Amino acid sequence: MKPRTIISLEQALSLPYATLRFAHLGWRVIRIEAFTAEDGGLQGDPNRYVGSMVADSDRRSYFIAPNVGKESVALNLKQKEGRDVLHRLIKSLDADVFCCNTLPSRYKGLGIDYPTLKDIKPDIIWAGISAMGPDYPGVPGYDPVVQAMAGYMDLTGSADGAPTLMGVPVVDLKAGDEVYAAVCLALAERAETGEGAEINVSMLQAAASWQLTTLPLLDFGAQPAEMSRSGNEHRKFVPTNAYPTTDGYVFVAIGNDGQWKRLCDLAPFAGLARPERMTNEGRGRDREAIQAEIWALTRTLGTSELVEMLRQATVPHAPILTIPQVQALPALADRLTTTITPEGKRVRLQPKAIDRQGDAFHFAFPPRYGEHTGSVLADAGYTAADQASLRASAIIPT
Amino acid sequence: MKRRTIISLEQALSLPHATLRFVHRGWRVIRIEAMPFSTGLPGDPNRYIGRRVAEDDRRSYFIAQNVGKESIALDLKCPEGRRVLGQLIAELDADVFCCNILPRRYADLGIDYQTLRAFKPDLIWAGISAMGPDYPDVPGYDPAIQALAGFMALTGEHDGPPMLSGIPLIDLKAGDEVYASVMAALLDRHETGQGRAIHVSMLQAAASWLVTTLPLLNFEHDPTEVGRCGNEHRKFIPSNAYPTADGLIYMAIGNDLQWRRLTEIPKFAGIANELRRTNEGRHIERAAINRDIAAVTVGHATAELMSDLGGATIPHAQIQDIRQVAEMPAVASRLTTTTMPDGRVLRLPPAAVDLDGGSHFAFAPRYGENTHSVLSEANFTAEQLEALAAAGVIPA
Repeated sequence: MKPRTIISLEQALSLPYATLRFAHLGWRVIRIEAFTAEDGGLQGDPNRYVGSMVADSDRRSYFIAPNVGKESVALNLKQKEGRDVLHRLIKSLDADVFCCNTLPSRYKGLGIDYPTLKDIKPDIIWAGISAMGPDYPGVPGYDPVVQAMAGYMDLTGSADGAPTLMGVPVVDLKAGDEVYAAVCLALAERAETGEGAEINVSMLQAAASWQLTTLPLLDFGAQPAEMSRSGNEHRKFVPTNAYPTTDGYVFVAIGNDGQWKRLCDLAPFAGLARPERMTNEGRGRDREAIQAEIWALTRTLGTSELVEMLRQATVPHAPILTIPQVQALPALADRLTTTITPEGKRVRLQPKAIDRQGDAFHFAFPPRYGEHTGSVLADAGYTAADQASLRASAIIPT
Repeated sequence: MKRRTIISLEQALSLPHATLRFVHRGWRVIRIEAMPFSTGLPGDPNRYIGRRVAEDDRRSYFIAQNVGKESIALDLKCPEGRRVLGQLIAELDADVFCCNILPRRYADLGIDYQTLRAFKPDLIWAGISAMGPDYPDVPGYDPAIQALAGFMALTGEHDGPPMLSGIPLIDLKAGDEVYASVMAALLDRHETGQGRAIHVSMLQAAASWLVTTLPLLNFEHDPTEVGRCGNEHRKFIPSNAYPTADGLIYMAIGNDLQWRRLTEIPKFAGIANELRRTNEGRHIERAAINRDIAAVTVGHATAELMSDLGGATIPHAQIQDIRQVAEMPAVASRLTTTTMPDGRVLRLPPAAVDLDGGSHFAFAPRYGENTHSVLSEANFTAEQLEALAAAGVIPA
């Protein structure tokens, strides 16, 4: 596929993750970061400064993975001259897509709103991520806050416990995936019609679109318990739960009476068998005692020992893997993407969502703040003298 | 965009969710379902899960992901059935074929990419499986992949058990990958004229979302950063769910300015001290800060705290149940709908992003409802349909 050019005013996770996916396709991603002349405070994407030190103080651990394979331009968009630079970059570099995840209330002031950029390049594809869409221009979009708002927390956790956050920042990532998919759609559309597009991704709406198994139940007269959390337990099939072992956890799912019998036929679990537990209905009445008994038994077994037993007895189960164990899975180990730190250390990152034949796995280390300001501006036709004057007026860093 | 045609051998949630997204675009989606075995219920097992909504084969867990589609019942185990599928793809000029069955069965059912592209050389082919075609026998259950992909290890209380996420997010993520990859493949086809095969591994798609955890293994990190952390954000302090007089409130302090604004609210003034001015300092006093905040919030109603935090522009939310979500104006105005056979309007989730394509969709089809009409459109004659029905390849 022809490589495209993406210019992205991005920070934190959601949009950097989206444009990472374009980097995965081999496309050019130029991230714009704010430059302010005022002294004090850290410059650029705040995530540059989160986590442990990796390369320099502006490339810490949380910044690395979403930003490999990109260029960075630092630019003062609060000044008209800075906005002119952005507009010239879009035109001269023939940018296909402009993205941003700033508050919608700031689009116009920064000269990055769709009508303005469309005037610069009529077939531009414009994509913005915000908490609740441009109708709610002042609402900031934090993943956990939107998880709370969109019902995700209410659905996660034990039935008798507190609402729980999902451990992966799903709403940030879902919003980023929506930019990715919508831009691919818009590019395919542009190939047909020649027209660009404006794409507004609302984190709340994208999250709510995933309430496919719960929200429709409202109009089916479902009981509140069917639309709230139930921990690791299946509401209908007993026992289905996560059980602790000596060295981890195993998820066990008994879907029918035959599987229950096979579980009880295993020597360590023989004590579970009782006539009244032979049916799912009976097990449902005795649910708590069954859970406690299984819990006490699995605690004495190693994960691999238990997994092997369940496998032989064909009882549905899955080991609950930790992140280091996930990284080591053979199905993933040779699909991890990589980068190399300035000191030459090879770093293994998460895999791409899907592999396409011929696509790269290795990506350049993330750029320093504003690292490519000079080279990208030169690409867009700015001479050394032009750049000196921009530096003098505090439009780009010195 | 030109309306596309998708033919999808689909069941359960992941792939029906993907093709629902094509329906949202206004595209044509024809789902293929298997002819009944000797015993057992015909077609997608999800037809029979939950409350009866229309007939016995359209129960509550089947409806939402299948609105706006057509249904064909077809026996792909016999050569005639496979020939019908080939003719459908060619005659209806299908752009995309999708399936979510075990990869081991692709070749036998004649639905593998090589076979189907013979009917239409530029066909885009997309399959979802648990771990990709290298693991052809692994079934793809959302909870099992949540366990395998580290999602459970990351969810729940720090000192509690691993926890499932309350929505089937890996099914949904895998479906979204089909959607996005088909869009990319359509773009590609525009340039090259070529179709392609897309294999979505649920495990790999899930692991691609470990952006904030898996890479940390390379760097100096605290075990909580790659483990469970309850409701707390691992890096921005304080971000947590706090008890109120009548429920819970989620509050997220993303930077030092927001912390300052929080501690300027009179009821929170007592939680400030010099060390806590920076996120680094707050990290050191994390447990004490959580206790101090909870001691304040527990004495006030959620609504009052929301008004305080809103006034100080501090990110926050009440922890809403699904009913409250559906009633938020930002969501309620964008819900999609369908009309049930009894005339009632059913509210469904919004499209992920507002794009053209409409918001009201036809009710989910009965099993095999459109078999004869779609086959006629693909130039099967009445005699041929009769013969196919007599041979048990399609329903009578």
